[in-house]
Amino acid sequence: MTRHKKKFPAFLWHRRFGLLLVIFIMLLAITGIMLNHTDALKLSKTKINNSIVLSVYEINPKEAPISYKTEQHIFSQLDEQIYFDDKKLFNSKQQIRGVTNAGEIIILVLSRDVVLLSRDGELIDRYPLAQKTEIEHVGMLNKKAIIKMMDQTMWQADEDIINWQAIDSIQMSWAPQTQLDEALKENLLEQYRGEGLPLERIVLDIHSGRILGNFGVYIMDGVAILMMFLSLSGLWMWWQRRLKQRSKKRRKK
Amino acid sequence: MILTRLFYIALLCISLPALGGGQYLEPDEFIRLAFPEKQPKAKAMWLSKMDRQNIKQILAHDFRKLRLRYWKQDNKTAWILEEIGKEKPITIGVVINQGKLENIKVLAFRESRGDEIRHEFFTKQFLQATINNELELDRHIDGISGATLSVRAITKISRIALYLDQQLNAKPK
Repeated sequence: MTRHKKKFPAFLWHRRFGLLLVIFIMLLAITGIMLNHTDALKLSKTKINNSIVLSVYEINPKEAPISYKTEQHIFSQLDEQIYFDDKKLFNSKQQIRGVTNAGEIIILVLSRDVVLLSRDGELIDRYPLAQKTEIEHVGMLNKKAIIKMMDQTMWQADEDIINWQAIDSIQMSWAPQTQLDEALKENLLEQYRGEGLPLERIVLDIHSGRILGNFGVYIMDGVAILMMFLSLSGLWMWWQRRLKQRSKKRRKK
Repeated sequence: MILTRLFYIALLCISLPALGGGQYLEPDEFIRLAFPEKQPKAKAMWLSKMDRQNIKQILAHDFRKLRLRYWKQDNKTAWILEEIGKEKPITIGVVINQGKLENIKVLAFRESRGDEIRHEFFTKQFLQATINNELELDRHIDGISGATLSVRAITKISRIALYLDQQLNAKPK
């Protein structure tokens, strides 16, 4: 047991909390100074595109990309965003289930909707097909588009791809998924993420603890309370020492 | 115990608005009701540049489709169209007979508020409506407080359906 602990328990806790808070105080001081000079440091203009940082902010896609290929084009889905080559088509909560060419029309099949596009990716029509069950696959057989549903029923489109008629189950090949090449994948990821996250936001979130979610905010609240304790315990120790020195001087006199 | 009950009641009240939306009528069923004797096959109407411009004008936002599906028998046409209410699309079925609106039904409503537009007390205002040269309805439609955007959406769809029917009949066969 130390001399300080016996005589000044406040000193012991002051030291313990002080050591505990070193990293936090440094972090708060550095981020605080940075935030005070946002414009000079160009924090709002500096964009962060690091995938780990973007994942913390859930800006990266949660699922792996899904891609299907026609003769000339590639259709990809990153979460709810659907792309035609490197151009964004639309957002959909439905999942791509296949793509096929029907003459001049491209049939893009989602889990419930049929989307018809021109060869340039212009939207021709979109309508729901599946009602009670989802679409599983799409394919072409004898120049007719055929869709297989999850309940294993099969439907054949008419020439204009407007009406779908139930047909007997047949063996045929379906539009297969494909792998995105790295260049296109990187391009789509860039589009998905947008221009990136401003550094100011990250610094601000480190300063407030929000980078760790609500838990981080509570940690920073705790740090703030401990810092108040440190200032009071420091003041208390200084006052105690001063009283002691005065009484020593009096005794000497 | 009382606090727990109050908590559950509060929770129920909070989740109530989310019960607003739903699928009220399947599109197939709507077409069957529109043509009870014999259901015609769907056809496609390819939209001209002018058609798309007029639809865009009615919607007051961009319209990207190049064609629309419709069902036709004699002088009667049926259309299933969508328009965003506040954030999500509302699917609306419209039947036009001899250039006049015969029936309008909300098939699917996905927003959390404003689904009062599906009730007959509201939709009956549209019956026998036509459009003028400015593509406006020939009558005033009374709104519903708290459902302004949904009322706006269904009114736009009724105008588009009447316009499309007009164009379809004007086109040389």
